[in-house]
Amino acid sequence: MVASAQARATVDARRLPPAGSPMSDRMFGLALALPAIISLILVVGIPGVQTLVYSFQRVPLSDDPATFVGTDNYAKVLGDESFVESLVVTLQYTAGYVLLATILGLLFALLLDQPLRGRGIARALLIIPWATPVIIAGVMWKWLIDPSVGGLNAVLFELGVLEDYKPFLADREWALVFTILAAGWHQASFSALLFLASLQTLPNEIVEAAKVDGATAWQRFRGIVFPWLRPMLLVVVVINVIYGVLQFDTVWVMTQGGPGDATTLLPILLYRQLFIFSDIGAGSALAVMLGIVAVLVSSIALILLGRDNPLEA
Amino acid sequence: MGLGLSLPAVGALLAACSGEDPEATRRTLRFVGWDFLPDTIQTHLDNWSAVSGGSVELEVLPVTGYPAAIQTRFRGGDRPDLFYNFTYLLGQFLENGWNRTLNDLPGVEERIDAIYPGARSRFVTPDGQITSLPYFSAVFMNHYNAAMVEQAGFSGPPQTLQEYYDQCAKIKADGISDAPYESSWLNERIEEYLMATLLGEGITAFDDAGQPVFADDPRSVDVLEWWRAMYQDGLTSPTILTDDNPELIGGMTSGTFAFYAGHDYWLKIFNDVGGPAAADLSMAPMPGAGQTLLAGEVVQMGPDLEGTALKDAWDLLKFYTGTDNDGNFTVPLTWVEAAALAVPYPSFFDDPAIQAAYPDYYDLGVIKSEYDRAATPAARALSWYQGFQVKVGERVNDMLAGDTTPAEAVKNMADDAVQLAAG
Repeated sequence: MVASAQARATVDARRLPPAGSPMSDRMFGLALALPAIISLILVVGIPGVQTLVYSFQRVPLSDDPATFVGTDNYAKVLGDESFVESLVVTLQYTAGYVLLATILGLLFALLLDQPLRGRGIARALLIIPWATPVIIAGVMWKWLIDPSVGGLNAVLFELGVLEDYKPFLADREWALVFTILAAGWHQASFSALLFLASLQTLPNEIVEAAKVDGATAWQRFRGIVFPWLRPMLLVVVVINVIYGVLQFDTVWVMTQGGPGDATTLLPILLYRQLFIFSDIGAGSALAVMLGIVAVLVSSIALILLGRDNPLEA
Repeated sequence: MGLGLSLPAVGALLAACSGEDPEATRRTLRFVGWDFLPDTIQTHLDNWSAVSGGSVELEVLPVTGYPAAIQTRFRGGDRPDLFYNFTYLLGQFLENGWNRTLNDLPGVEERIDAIYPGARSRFVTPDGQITSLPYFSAVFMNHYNAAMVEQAGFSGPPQTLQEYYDQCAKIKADGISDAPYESSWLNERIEEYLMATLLGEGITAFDDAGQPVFADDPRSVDVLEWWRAMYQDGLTSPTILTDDNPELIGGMTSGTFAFYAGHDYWLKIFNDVGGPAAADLSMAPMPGAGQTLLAGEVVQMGPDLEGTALKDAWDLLKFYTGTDNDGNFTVPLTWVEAAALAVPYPSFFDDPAIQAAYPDYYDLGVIKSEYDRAATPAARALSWYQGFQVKVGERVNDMLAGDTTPAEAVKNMADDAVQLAAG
């Protein structure tokens, strides 16, 4: 029995590549990743390629075949003045969203990493904003800033910040600001969770040694904590950029793109193109351009944040 | 109304005469609706199955995003047998062969003839194709806070746009309300208010061919002048451009707003929600001596029906959108009880069961007379019209922001309509 098992193990060992071989590691990794790769190909790759193909076609809604139209759809989208306006709004929105969601998330994480009383409960509460459905979050914020019944106006009025109750969503600039706040608040808790996870891996000895050496809190943050967080910061920023560029739900609930086109982000324009104007070709071209915007902005973030990490050096 | 036919019986008889086996083409029907009272929908379908012997499966989609979801399904080849639809999607569905026209079905003409003339264009295209039957309908009414109007010294709600402005100005000046007028002027809903106001002033917005003719009538500019004055003079809710249902419900029932122009079922919503001002709310015809807007949504039949399945679907469609085989408005009655939703048949309002189902605070005589003068511009069911709704939102917003004049807004909207109609 034992001999048989030993013989089987010997045969199995012969079948496997030598331990430590780069080839075996690669194959093993590939095998692990295969389900995810197949899923991605099915739900992202194929629709992505299909969208790219559609963007060069006139696509009827009926069963009639699509026809190749070259770059007409792109010309149509780029020639529409609302595209340029929407692109500007989207970039402004994304910048505000990424800054807010990232910085607020970082502050939450730093706070919850401290040995405070009730930290466990606070950490559990951190998940609530992120677990709140975005539609609900949008409605909640809309009510919060409502000039008739919302609490924010009352607080700002009592503090003397406002001379009178202000209808924030009626103002083009403030509408953009508050849609950013609503979506950014929602995303900040997710950023905080990621930062917190990274902070948990920071060896306490390093921080303690810095303390012994007389480093101030700011010096410890700048010299140890922040460099330690930079790889995670990169991940968080890229995720937030992608979420920011693709924002739809919160803004739709709060303003439907209004007042006027003040909060008409590219995804709202895309929704209209596909499901109101029923133009699949132009909608696909817009989707491709939206993807390009997301990749470009993410790449810029990667370049800016990915260089010169003193901790790695 | 007496329009109900016992289709299963007739179908079985015809099948027997032709030698066809009814069960051979009988199958479970698929019914897709949105999530308003899904349990009630299921009960209706179960009741129909019990009486007819047919079977039907219900699929409920969220009403938010329903237009996108149903379009995507059809585009992907998923074609239910019966489905709710929005009026503005009718033209698109017809063009793409996503719905079955009903012209060849027995008794459909009688059913269409029994509909209010003002609602007919929602179900029949200008060239006579019958596309749908009513899920529900509603007329535009002027909801008002009677106590506020009286407190401001007026004997009743406004009858003209000028009176509307004057009453709002007085109510505001007297400190009764800071924001007397509320509507839902969200981008893609503004068009409905525009149509209601144009119709009220007796302006024909579109001709029978769907071409915009409102720009030819100088009163269209006057209508937009009124809109601009209401907004810029601070007589509307300050957030009227982004207010949605919760804001208007809260504002009306709490006494923040004095007026709300919208569908007649809102009065029941206000009363059901309650609030300090709910009991003071009433409704009157929209200002203007012209017509009022009749709106509502529809039920359509999918394109893949034949044989007994088709007969079953037709029987179910009639049951669901009008009277059952005994001539009772069984299904519409439940919508009245739940939400004061109507169906656009004169006989509906004459039905004692329906009359009893409406809350006491509804003046059915007024509503019925509004249905008599109501209209649905045929263009609203054309495939390009949904794009026009977006454009109206943009143009009116630009005007309210002071970027364009009312005259320019009218011209721009007419140009948009022509351009969209041309494809």
